[in-house]
Amino acid sequence: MALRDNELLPGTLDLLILQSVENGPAHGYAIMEAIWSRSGELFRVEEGALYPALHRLQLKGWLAAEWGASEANRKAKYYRLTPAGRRQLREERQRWSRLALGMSRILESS
Amino acid sequence: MIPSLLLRLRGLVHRRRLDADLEAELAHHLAMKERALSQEGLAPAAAASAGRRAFGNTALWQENIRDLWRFRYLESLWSDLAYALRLLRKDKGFTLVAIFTLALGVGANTAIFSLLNGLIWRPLPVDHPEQIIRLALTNLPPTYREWVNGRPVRPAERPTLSYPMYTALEKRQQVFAGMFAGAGGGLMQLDVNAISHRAYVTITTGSTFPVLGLRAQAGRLFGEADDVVGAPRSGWVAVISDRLWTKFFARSSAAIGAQITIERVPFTIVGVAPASFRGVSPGTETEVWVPLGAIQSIYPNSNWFTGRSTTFLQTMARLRDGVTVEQARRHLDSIAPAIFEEAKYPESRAQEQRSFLAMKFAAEPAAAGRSWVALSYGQSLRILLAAVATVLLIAVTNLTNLFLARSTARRFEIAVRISLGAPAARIRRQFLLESGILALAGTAAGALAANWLVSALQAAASRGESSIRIDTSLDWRMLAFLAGILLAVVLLAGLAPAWAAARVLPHTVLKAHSGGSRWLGFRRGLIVMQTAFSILLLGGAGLMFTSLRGLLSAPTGFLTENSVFVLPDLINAGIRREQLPGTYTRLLSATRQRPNIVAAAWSVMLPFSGGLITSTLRVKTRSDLSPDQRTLFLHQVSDGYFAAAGVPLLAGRDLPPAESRRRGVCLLSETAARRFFGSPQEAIGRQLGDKDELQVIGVVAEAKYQNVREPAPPTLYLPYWTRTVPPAGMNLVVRYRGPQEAVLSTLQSLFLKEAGRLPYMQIHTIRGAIEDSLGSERLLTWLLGGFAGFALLISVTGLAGLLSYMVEQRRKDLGIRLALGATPRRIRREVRVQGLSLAATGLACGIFLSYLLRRSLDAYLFGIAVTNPAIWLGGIAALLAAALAATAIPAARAARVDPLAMLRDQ
Repeated sequence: MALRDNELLPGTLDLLILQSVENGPAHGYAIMEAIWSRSGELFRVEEGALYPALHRLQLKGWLAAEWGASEANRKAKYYRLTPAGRRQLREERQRWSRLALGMSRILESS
Repeated sequence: MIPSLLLRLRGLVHRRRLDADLEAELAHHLAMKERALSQEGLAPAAAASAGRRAFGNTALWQENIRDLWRFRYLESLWSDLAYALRLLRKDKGFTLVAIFTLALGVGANTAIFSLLNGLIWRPLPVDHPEQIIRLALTNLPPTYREWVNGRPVRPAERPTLSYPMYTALEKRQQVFAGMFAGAGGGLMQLDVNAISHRAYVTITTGSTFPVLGLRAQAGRLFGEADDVVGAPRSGWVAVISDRLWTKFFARSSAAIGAQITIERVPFTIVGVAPASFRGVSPGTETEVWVPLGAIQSIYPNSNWFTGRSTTFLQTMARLRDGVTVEQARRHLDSIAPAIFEEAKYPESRAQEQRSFLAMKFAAEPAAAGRSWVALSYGQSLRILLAAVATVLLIAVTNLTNLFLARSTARRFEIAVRISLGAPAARIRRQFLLESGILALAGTAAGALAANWLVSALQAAASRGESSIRIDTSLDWRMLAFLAGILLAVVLLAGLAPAWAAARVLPHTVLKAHSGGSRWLGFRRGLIVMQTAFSILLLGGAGLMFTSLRGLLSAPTGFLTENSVFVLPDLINAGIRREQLPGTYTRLLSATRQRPNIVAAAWSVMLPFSGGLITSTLRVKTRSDLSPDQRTLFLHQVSDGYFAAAGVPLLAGRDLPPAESRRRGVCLLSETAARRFFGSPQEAIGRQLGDKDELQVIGVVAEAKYQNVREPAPPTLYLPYWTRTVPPAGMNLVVRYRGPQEAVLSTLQSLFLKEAGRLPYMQIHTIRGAIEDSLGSERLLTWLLGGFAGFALLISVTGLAGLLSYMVEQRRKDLGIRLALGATPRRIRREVRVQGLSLAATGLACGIFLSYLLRRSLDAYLFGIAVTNPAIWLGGIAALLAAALAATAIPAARAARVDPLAMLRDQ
């Protein structure tokens, strides 16, 4: 069964979004799909959480947005990582792996 | 967070575009989703509705996104602001009282600050004012004396140079980019289109405007070429001020080239000075500048340019770029001997020459100028600033108290808002907004009131003819001051109520109408503080009033009733200087023949109007006396002066009549006679002076001349005809019977007959001159009195307000106690005791505070000690009485609580 975004750890959604635009700009729908497929259909981010998060990250200066043409030749808003966003992603990733390592050590030792 | 701020601001401005963007983004998302669903095999219509379903509550999260972008803060701020305004409008009484008290506090503060600013802090409106320095003489000869506080004092500096010194210095110095000097300024007769006015004229060197770096706003300013000793071929030129240009020429270019007459000397106007420039002496406002060379024509009876002892030039200089004041001082020290060598008077004795040559120059930065106004009023303005700051503090604490009371009264409303989900920050902001609006309104009203107060103060401080005009136009200092006051008011008056309001606990308030007593201690503290400051101001004002009354009634040695000093401007009325001796004698005998004149005489000075001449005399028989003891005040009068002024003759006789032209005779005041010869009788017939050139023919009683608060100076009276050139401005002293108006018109007709034209007459009485000389004291007294009254009013109403509030809080208690048999009388007494104990605590603090500040009024008090018990006890009694009166209403209200109604309510 898919995990909903309100079951994610706080801050995880930001990391997921930043990670999915690491290799190039993407629009909101593509980001949602990427998280879905890359998590092996485990994480389902809903629109009601995704879009506010995208705008929040933009305000924080980690994402930049511009309008471009999408696959179906429609106007779409593309989000890309800013240099500050890239730094943030690196830090978040390290923090997360430390957290995961610690968690797994504790959980497996019992 | 700057980029985010910018993005948000953009969001705020392009609100519609943000909405459209959001719409488009979501439309795209929806389209993509529909495509995916239909690819999975759903029918298009079903795909669309399924896609939309998955979106959830679109409106809600879209609004969330909008909130992200917009300053929700600002938007809600608007509604809070509107709410605050509505509340303040509804609560008119509260709003008006708050604005009025603030306006008074802020107005008084702004007024005093702007006066101090214009007088002491504001730099001269010239190029690089920091380069301007003021030069003076220092290391003065040991015999040089000035009369200060009733004693001859050897001053540290003399602020003026002689013309030979100035030219020698200008020639030799290498540290100044330029020098200029003024002969001071004063009110002179100015004729424009044959109509006479009085105008403030400054006589100054041609280098003044170039050195200051000023440019004319019309025509040109005069320069070195216009300033020659003698008279320039094309005649004298003058520069007028912006004010004069407006007043007499309606800012017309016709003013340039116009002919005017100053003290009967013709001048041509060549230009108008910049509007911001009022001269280099703050507190005065020059209306006409004329070149120094013209001084010989205006005042021909001194040798201005050759006189080596005539020091009259207030000298200033501009430092060369990169030269510091310290470097300039060192340079001046090194060239001083050569300059004084050049400027010395060769005929003086060897010892005097040595001390003359030992003089040095003092150099002080003069960016902000320096003037007699600053010297005489600076100190009282500083005291006043402290007083008005206290008043403002009282006004602000009163406002805090009002706000606290209001926030308590509104706790029901606040509780409802908090229960409905309003965050504490929002409640706090609401209260800060309300205090902010009031502070803004109060400050604005205060700034307006300050304008009016400033002109009233200047008018009150202007002594006699010399009016004080301080430049109080707005500058950054004033704006910073107002902004600071505004901020302080908002923080002081708004912060505590805002905190108190936000900490209201909804359940306690909604359950029962109680609570909110947490701030009571704080409010009590504020009342104590207000009372303390009130007694401080009240005591200070009481001391000043008593002292001023003492000064006005202090014995002066003159008989002030039925005596008047009239100073006719005979020169401007057409009398030539060489005619003056005859005119004086003729006028005197004509005046004495009038039936309403009891006695008449000439006097070179009006007592208490400043300008004391001193002279150190030798007395052969008393070589034991120090120069200080031999220094006398010199007064020149005609026969009959003592009868006209009402100074009793103790021994010997009066001066001989002017017709005799007899020199070498003098009278002494009693102290001088006793000091030199033992007693008034023994002084008669004795000799005074280096060569025994003076014979004492009479001794008169003491009379004060400089200041009422000082002891009478030992005085030497000489006949006015001792000087070869008779003084131009002499006072006709008249003792009369009947109404004064009749005497004045008698004198007018005499002057008219003698001069052929009615002269400008200055009319003074000794009493008036004393009152004029006490301008600074009077100003301080009336203002302190006004402020004390204001402070008293505020603290008393504050006390009444607090007690009423406390009674309101304790209604239930009171009701129960009354029901259980407590008498209304007892309840009333309790409230009274509560109020009085608050007032008493404040009084104790205030008395302690005034003990700490006891030295600050020393310079102003006359015949009364700071610790005078009558004053302080009176003040305490007045405050206690007022406090008792303030408790009456709350006490009555407490006793009127109806136990039955109270219990029904519960």
